[in-house]
Amino acid sequence: MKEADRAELNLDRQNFLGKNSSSLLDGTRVAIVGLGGGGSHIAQQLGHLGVGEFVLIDPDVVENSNLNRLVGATQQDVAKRTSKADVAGRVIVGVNPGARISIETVRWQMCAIALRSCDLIFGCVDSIAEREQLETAARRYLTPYVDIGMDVHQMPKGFSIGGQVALSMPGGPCLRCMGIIDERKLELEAQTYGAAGGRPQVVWPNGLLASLAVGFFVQLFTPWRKASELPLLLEFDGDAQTVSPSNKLLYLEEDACSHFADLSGLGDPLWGSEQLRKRMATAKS
Amino acid sequence: MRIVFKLTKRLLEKIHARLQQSHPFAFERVGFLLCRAGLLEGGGVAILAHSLHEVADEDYVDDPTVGVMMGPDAIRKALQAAYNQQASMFHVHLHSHRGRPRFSRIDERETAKFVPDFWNVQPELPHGAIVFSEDSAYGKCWIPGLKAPVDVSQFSVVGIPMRSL
Repeated sequence: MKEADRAELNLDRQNFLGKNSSSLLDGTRVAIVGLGGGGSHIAQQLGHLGVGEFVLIDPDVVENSNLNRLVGATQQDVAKRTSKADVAGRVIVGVNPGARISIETVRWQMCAIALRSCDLIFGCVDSIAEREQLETAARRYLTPYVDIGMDVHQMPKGFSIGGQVALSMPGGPCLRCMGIIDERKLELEAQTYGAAGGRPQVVWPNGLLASLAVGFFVQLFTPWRKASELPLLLEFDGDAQTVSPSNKLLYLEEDACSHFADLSGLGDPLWGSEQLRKRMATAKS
Repeated sequence: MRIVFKLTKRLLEKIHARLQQSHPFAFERVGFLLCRAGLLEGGGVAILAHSLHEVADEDYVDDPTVGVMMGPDAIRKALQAAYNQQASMFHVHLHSHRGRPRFSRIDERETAKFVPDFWNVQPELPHGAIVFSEDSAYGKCWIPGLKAPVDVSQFSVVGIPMRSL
């Protein structure tokens, strides 16, 4: 885009989000891990909202089979093998040229330090194991983590669509507390590793779940609703076209999480190591 | 160096509740936060608070010339907690007003004396001191290898809603 064509994003129509909401959003740093069907919608919406800083992480390039759901991707991107993270960055900058964007075309584990200073992490990853790792990384730095998941199940009478959006707040219930992660699911996933093939995905449930995830973000970071509580787990029934707060959390004894209760789960486990000392010395100078 | 101090809303509420409780003779209460640390991209440090280590009633010294005075057992127990739990320790107390608090001259003098003592048990970790007000906070962090303490740049309260102090 030519410099002369650039304009500031006008956010007048969302002033109702609260005093200083524009500067609050501009001062927020968000990571989106996975920029496929769900993550691309989130990136687009956060771009429109005026979020100022992004860390966009996805090692994959756009393929023809992604175009049924990947917002912003084109046939040209398939031909050019554009990375999904670059597509998301392009969509954001197209709306808000002032956005500060860091693109990572590697697995998120290779650039995890970029997540540490994020105000919130959106997880749009496929596997249960990866969700667990990402949530653990988020909790290490007391960072809220929003997870979206969609599934198409084959039922006796046809295909059924379901999904959920979970807000994992440090100190509160985690994905294990919510039943999204458990040993049985991890074991099942490990057994079928590499044999899953292309998972069915469609655009509209992705868009809906992404919108709910962005709704969590807006409620957390703007003074709009002044909410002090949120339904932490929203369940989507794609067949009935309904979204409901999950009943699962009602039956927990208390909302504190026992899975991330230890002090050792916080911070850098390598703190004090020689490697870290060198990095500290560099940082000080 | 940029220092970001993070704690959950629930822990902040607990700190306020405990530090506001009256004491048989001390004018105010103090405590310690058990924390861990991590490097941030670009060289800053995140201090991540985990829990509150409270000073027992009997470990205060009855000294009417100051608002609060910790006895040797209070310090020893805090050092023990730092050692046993490999924790970065931050002394905390509360000023009952709104707006940005500052250390008093006594706070400056006393924290400079006892905070570096935590390096005797956890020499690799940063330690520090924080004063909270009703809606804000101010803190200093002693980083291993740095001669002088560094002001905490940002306090982030993680909860619904997210906020900075």
